[in-house]
Amino acid sequence: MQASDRVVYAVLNQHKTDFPCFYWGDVAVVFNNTYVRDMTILNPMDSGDYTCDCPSPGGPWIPKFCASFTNETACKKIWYCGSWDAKKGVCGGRPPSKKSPVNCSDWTGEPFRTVGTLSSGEHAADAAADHTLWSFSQWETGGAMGTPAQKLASLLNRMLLQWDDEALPNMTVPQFDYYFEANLLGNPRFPEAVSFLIADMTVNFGTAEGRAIQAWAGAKGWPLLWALGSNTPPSPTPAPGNHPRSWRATGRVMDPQVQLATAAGTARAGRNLTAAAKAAAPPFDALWRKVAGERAALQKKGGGKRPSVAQYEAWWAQLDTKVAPAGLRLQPMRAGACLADAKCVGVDAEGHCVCY
Amino acid sequence: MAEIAHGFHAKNDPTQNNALDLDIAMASSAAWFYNQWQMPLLFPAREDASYYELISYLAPAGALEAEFYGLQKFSAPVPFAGVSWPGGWPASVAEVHKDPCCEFLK
Repeated sequence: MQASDRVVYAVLNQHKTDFPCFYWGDVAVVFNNTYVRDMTILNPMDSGDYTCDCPSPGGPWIPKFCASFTNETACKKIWYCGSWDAKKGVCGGRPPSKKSPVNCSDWTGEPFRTVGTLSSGEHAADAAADHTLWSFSQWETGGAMGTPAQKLASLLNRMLLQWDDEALPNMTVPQFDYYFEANLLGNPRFPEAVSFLIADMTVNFGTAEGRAIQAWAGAKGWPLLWALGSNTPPSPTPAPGNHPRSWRATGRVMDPQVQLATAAGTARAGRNLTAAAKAAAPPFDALWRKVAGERAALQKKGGGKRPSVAQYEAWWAQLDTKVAPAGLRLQPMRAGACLADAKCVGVDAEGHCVCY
Repeated sequence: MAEIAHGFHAKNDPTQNNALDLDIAMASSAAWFYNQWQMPLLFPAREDASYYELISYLAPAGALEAEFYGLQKFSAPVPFAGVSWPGGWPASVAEVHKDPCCEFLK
């Protein structure tokens, strides 16, 4: 058995958020669907939730596993175990299925009843709808997200509406929790397995890591998009309290420097984008240097300070409205929007597919 | 077609969620995308330093892959004293360099 036969965990961006991986980092690799189509399994939810909360086919393993967390600090690192029992000196060991938002009956019995593939997602879709309705009714009820039906409507609207549609609902952390986990059975190879990269502007723009991301994209010939995302300071857990109540999740701008420096510079929207990238590169670079300078000044002051949320919003507004011409502002493709979607990056402000 | 994406931190920070994943330096020098079993075998010093995060990260994956997906179990036992999860542990670094196999869906 090889470790390379195992799973690379990913997410299906059905919410069409600008930065789809904010729970797990500040760089997102968006895979080439043609490459990964035959190696992808869709789960209707985060698999950690049901593997830890539902009865396991091979028998219960969670209580024994939780017992290996031998102090309170360690116990807090795995929320599936529940809380530290100070009297017994034991890490929780919450019984499977108890208090779980997961409808475990979907996950027992016939293997693969609830998983799907990219070409046949009906099973996962059925389970997702079931899970979504179940957990919407069990979890985060009565809050600003409204009834289960309203929550489901919000999900469908995020999936189906264009980013510039005023009816598009904002993204929220509880809403994001209802996503398809897309698991790749094998090691996607570089560069052919990747379509493009997305970098979180608030973490990487104007930094050495940002330059490294640009260099990686350039070396592999991938377009790089910058996204505003949830504009949230980094935190150790993706808990709702660490994020704004809601955000638009509709900001993506193509990096003109990477466009000009690589083969990805041939991207076009019914026309060559080189001229647009050339025009955008100098102001992009000026903004980069400005942000780098602000970050350096804050670092000199010490205390681990970072620019404020408002400051990032202002810089994003500059990038989005002044630096990037319409041809470099992109939103995700919809099904069938672009014929060669394996090598397409998105749709520009005028509705043209941007491909390479 | 919806986007399929995987996120990681460009700069490793052990306090962050998913801190045991790639960073941009690792990604830049890789020929393919590593999975989370390959990471502790290829970068043991960094991964083992976050012991509780590491086992929290791998145990649910072991349960999913070995029990729910029915993938073949690894040949070695979990190498941490007093810790177990379904599916075991890959026996050697050599295993992770073999060609990936995508026969599962065929």
